[in-house]
Amino acid sequence: MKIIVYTTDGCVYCKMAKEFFERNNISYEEKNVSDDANRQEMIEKSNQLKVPVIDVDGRIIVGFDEEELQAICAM
Amino acid sequence: MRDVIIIGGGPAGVAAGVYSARKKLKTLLITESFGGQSAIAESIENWIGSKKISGMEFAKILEEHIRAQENIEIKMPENVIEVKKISDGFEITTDKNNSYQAMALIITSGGRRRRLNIPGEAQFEGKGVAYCSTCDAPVFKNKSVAVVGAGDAGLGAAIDLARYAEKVYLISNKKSLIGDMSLQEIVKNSEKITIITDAEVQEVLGGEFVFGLKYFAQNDNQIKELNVEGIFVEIGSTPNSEFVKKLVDTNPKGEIIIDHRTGATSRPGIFAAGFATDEIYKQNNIAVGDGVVAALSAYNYLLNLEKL
Repeated sequence: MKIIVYTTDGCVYCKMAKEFFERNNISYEEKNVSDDANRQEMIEKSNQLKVPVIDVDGRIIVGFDEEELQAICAM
Repeated sequence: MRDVIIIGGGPAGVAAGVYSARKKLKTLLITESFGGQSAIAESIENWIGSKKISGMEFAKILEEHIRAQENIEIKMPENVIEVKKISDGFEITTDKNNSYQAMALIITSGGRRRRLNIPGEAQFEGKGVAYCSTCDAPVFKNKSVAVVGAGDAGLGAAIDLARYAEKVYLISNKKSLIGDMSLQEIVKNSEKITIITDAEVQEVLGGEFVFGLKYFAQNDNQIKELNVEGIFVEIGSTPNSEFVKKLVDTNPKGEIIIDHRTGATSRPGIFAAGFATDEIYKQNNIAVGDGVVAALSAYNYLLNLEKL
């Protein structure tokens, strides 16, 4: 499973998402969107302007919803 | 039948829960999440006992404290939809189609962000309309943005955004800024921030994403437009009291009216604390104290019913 979490520094839900993956021993790549290329990539993938965006094998999730992530990662 | 149900898991609800449980009341706490409105704060620096704590850490210590109690049952995430009076207490219904009964209730349901309720706002949420500048400000790097609201939150958002955006318009329907003087100073001295007062925001303009904002300028009595790609709405919060309005008195703001010595509402057996009430100072530290008051009053109420 390849996971990318698009984040900003001040975003609590981004931290919650990262903690969720760490707690469950799931590896992920973090892309901070203050970087121009990362930001552009996030907007193109999610077609919106809010963080966090989580890409799980191409499936795009906007926001942090623990139940939803658990369901997806259990599959 | 339980002794008490607490609705909400912010500082008021957790304080009420810890005290109810330690009084050995059969207690149920129902909440969407823990920590209340501060849970998304980047940093809290006035929580007494901690020099600095993140909103997430704040939510975590509250949750740990309530879960450490023996006599408490917790339903989370779950939201209360309706409260009804029944013969010997109250029955509540939730969004999970559960119903629970108790002899007393403590309402600590807090508040939620106020919205502008103008055309385009809902349609463009996440497409330029945003409610969390600490979260989303970097997404608007080198763009023009507007912040609506000139209280502390609006000023803070404008300052956050000025670090990234090319241009920030701070818009208020008041005659002047109203927030913290030191924040006002920073805003006024920023070359990137333009302050527009006496302006009534009317419409969010956009295509796929936001591209502008329409407002009524009271000074010149005309409608004007701004070209912005982001609109941050920072016009305060509104109390979560709708589900209980039929049972307790509320004021025109929707705040539950309480007796500030006891936390009692207009309905015997229902107590309230925190942001959802007419407490003047909406502070975490005060919410905790008021939650304790409500729990002790609920305990005395049950004692007087001679049901304990």
